Amino acid sequence: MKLIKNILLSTTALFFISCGGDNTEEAVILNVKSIQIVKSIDTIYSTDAEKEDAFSASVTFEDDSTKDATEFVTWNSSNTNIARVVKGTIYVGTQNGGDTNISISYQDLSSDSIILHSKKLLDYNISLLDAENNATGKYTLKAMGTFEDNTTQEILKNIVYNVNNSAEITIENDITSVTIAIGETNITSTLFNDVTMTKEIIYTAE
Amino acid sequence: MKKTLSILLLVSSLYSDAKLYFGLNYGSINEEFKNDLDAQSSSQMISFKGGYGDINAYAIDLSIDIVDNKSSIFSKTDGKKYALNLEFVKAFDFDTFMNPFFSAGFGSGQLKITNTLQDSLSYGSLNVGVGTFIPINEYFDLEIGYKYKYLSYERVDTIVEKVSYKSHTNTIYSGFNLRF
Repeated sequence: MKLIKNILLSTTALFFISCGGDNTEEAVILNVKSIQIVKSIDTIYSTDAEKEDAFSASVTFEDDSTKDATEFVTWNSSNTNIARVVKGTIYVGTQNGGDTNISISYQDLSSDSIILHSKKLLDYNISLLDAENNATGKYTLKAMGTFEDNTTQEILKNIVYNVNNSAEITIENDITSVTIAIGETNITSTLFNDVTMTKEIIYTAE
Repeated sequence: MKKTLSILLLVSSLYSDAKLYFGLNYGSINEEFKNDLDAQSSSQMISFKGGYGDINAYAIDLSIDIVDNKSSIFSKTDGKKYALNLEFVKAFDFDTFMNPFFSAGFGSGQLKITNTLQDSLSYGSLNVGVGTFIPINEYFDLEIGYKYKYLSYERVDTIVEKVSYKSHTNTIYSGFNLRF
């Protein structure tokens, strides 16, 4: 019985000794305070190619430090027919002009949204670059558009070409080319799947 | 068939004097983190347990730990820890007044935190322990022991990174068991 007492006393002493450990009292892990879009553009053209690094996002922690979060957040667009953003890159949609609200979110956190305006294409024309009269060969197709702000720019998206005869369309690095065979070739282009925005070139090769 | 019978006989012999038991332990727990996380925690723990086994041989032990966490490591106000453990106990009878034992098992638990993205962190643990039972009579015994746990926490999400922290805990405890 005496030994039991000794053991219990030793255990109690050990217990009180071990109670004196240190406690970390300030959070070592940074807590997220908010997320926000820190870099953005407000205007694009409805036929623009992808715009990399157009947007960026950051996370702010409770100690007011920040870190880039562009690749980690979900990018939201209120109208993906106009444009969407993925990891900071803008991809134009299939609608000719308009506004969309861009915001970011992560779980239950979300940022304020900003308005991205897509300039509407009013008119355009297509041409065969360096085409020699009546010669067969591979030529570059180029489309130039006039937008609502009266600027003229090359059309890089939302245009579809069709050819007849035995001509072939190829697209490499966003450059569209047509290989023309002997005979009459009709090259037609349509923008935004809109038949009222169709243009045609007739080329005859011998 | 013979093998099955042999196994059943072995199991029944292991638990020939087995009893159902319930116990309560109270102890002090110290936790130190790895992964370059310079943090530590010192808290009190109460553990309710139930099991089935022989105080002189083998037992299976199920326990619930409640740790009154005093540190704030993962958030401004880290809360209590709750854990469920399942352990295998091997005790020895040396014909003295006490029955030393060792134990091994695993557990899982949850720590309440107050972060924007997470309000709790789950963790898993591997447990080993040593100690001794001190039988007072057939139905009542005291228990003192030491338990080591290796904890692996759920990943902490800060949007830009997700890090899983590991820690070691050392617990010294004492308590009692009632055996039926």
